[in-house]
Amino acid sequence: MTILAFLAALFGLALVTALWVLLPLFRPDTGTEERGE
Amino acid sequence: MTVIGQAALLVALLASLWALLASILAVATRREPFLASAGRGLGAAFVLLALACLGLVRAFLADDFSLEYVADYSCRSQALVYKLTALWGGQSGSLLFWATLLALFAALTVVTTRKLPRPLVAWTFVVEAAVLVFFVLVSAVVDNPFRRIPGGIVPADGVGLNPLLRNPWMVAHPPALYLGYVGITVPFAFALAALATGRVDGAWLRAIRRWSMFTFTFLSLGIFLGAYWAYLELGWGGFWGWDPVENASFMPWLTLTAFLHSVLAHERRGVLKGWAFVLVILSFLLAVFGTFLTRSGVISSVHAFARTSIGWWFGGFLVLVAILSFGLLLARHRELRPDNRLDSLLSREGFFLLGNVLLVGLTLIVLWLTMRPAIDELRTGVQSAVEPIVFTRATRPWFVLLLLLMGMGPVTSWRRVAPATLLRRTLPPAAAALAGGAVLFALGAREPWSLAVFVAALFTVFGVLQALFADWRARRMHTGEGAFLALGRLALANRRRWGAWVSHVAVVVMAVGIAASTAYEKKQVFESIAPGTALELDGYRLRYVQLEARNLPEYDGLAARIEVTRPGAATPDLVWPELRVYGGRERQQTTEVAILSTLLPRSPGEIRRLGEDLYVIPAGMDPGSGRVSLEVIVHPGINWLWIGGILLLLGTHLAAFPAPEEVAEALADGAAARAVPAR
Repeated sequence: MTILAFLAALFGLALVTALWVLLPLFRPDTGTEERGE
Repeated sequence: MTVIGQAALLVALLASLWALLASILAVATRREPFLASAGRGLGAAFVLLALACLGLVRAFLADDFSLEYVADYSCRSQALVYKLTALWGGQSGSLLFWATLLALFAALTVVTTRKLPRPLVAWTFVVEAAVLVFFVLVSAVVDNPFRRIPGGIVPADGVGLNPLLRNPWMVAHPPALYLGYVGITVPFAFALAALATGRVDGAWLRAIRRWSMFTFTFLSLGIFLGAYWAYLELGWGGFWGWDPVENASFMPWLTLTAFLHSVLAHERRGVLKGWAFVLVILSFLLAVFGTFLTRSGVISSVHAFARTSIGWWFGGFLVLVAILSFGLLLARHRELRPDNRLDSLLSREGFFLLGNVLLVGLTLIVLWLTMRPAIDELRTGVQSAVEPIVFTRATRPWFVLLLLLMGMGPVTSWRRVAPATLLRRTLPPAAAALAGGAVLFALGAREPWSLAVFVAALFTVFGVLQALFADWRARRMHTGEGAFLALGRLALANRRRWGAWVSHVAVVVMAVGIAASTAYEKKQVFESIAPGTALELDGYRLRYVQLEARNLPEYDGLAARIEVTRPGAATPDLVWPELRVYGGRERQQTTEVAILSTLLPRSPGEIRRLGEDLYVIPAGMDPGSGRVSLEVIVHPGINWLWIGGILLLLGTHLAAFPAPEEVAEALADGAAARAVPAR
């Protein structure tokens, strides 16, 4: 049971994190040089 | 919840690895989406690590002794607050907590750097993510706090947190110190980013000014709380023992102090730029080295190093960081030439340079003496011991010089000061300090080093007062304001200057407390005293009344009821030195000293008692006969150390939040200084 719960937590957290972190990659690029110069 | 925490720690490792990869891609491709993704990776790492911390805290609250870490650092009878703080009571929890703070700071830099040049930000993320990957890796793989007890036999009760750590000051000391240690990573990351991008002008320094002050404040607070805890809880009568753990926090504090002054000199005069880089790299290396020292066990014996693998991890990381950062520094050394040359050594920046040399010299001495036992063991096979007095003797001339140098701050000016002007400004505080020293000598202060500290301290205080008076008089003549209004407005408009002055006065006040309490302490041991016995030490009259049992859920205690009549007082005060045996598997013992402080003496004749403590250590108690053995110490002026510490926090707070006009003025000064080309 504990191992199952652990695996469920692991995959659940990994999925949410991956979605949140990778989302900006699917947006159009504005270039890193344009801002803040 | 524990299971979620355990999983979150592993996912945090993935998130920080991704943040590192994405920020490297952002540097390489200059594409904004990678930078945004890296920023989110750092943010996600923080949330996940915070979840891991919550999971571990939950295990402590639920007395889940199936986890080795919980069984080692908690027990059923442990008070709630100490179950919470057991999170950082041992190594693996500390590492997790450290990584969490690091992720928090990295996430904060993501939010606060939106307006900065993107390449600089991308490189900053690379460095932050790399350091984060290291700490999360160590926490998740090498020393995981969620490790289960081998064999699966769950004990009925835990060992319990070391009772010495069950003290309110110990609740606050580690987080404060860690905030300081970890905080250094941010200026360090910006410094490396500036080197990597070749933007070694002032942009990175402006970005990290407040971070540096924040780090300095928390490192100071951490050291200060640790010293206070040692004084209250360790029961040997002192607050600083030159222990490797203490030195590990003191060394980055020294280099960070030098760094803050270099930043100021660079901002105002365009000088000491190279120093700023060297010092921030040194501060970071020393902070990691401190963890290496305390965690690898290399100081207690070089052989302890091999017993756990964590020493190798930290050692390897340290070498790698040192090679990379100093390599980068060497590669950029041409760009690091100052924007402006040092006009004269007789200037504020000239004295800053001297201060840097002294602070780094002092750091090297402390480092050498701290490492000497290990070096001797490697060389001869026999470990030597370096007694605290060796540290004190080696460092005190440097401290006196630094104190004198602090006094020079208010009497010098930026750029240059004519020798005659310097002499004219220095003479009044110097004469007043020497006169003060003579008075103290006449009052009985004969120990030469303490006298040197007192004179240097008075010099700084009088120097600050002289500068303050000059400013105040000028403002009143200029504006026609009333005395108090002028003083208040002056303080509000010159927060950085006042912050510096308050900080310097704070340090000398601390130095006076340290010098007075160590040079003039009086100590006596009273063996096997029967109830009703009267004792006397340095004017204090003590009467031991009786032993009393104090049985609480967390511990069983025996306290000696002692009536103390202070010098010149008619009625006695009560103090209770106590011996405790704590619950948990190992029934650990502690000594609780009793302290009677005299902040203000009762009569003017007792003025030397200002800030004095009577410190009673219970050396032994026999419940059968009721006899006790006591060690009684009189610490003159020790409370000045604590008062100075509070003043230092106030001073750094003032300096960290300057008025906007002050910042503009400093920037204009710096720009004007740079307009004169370096020769």
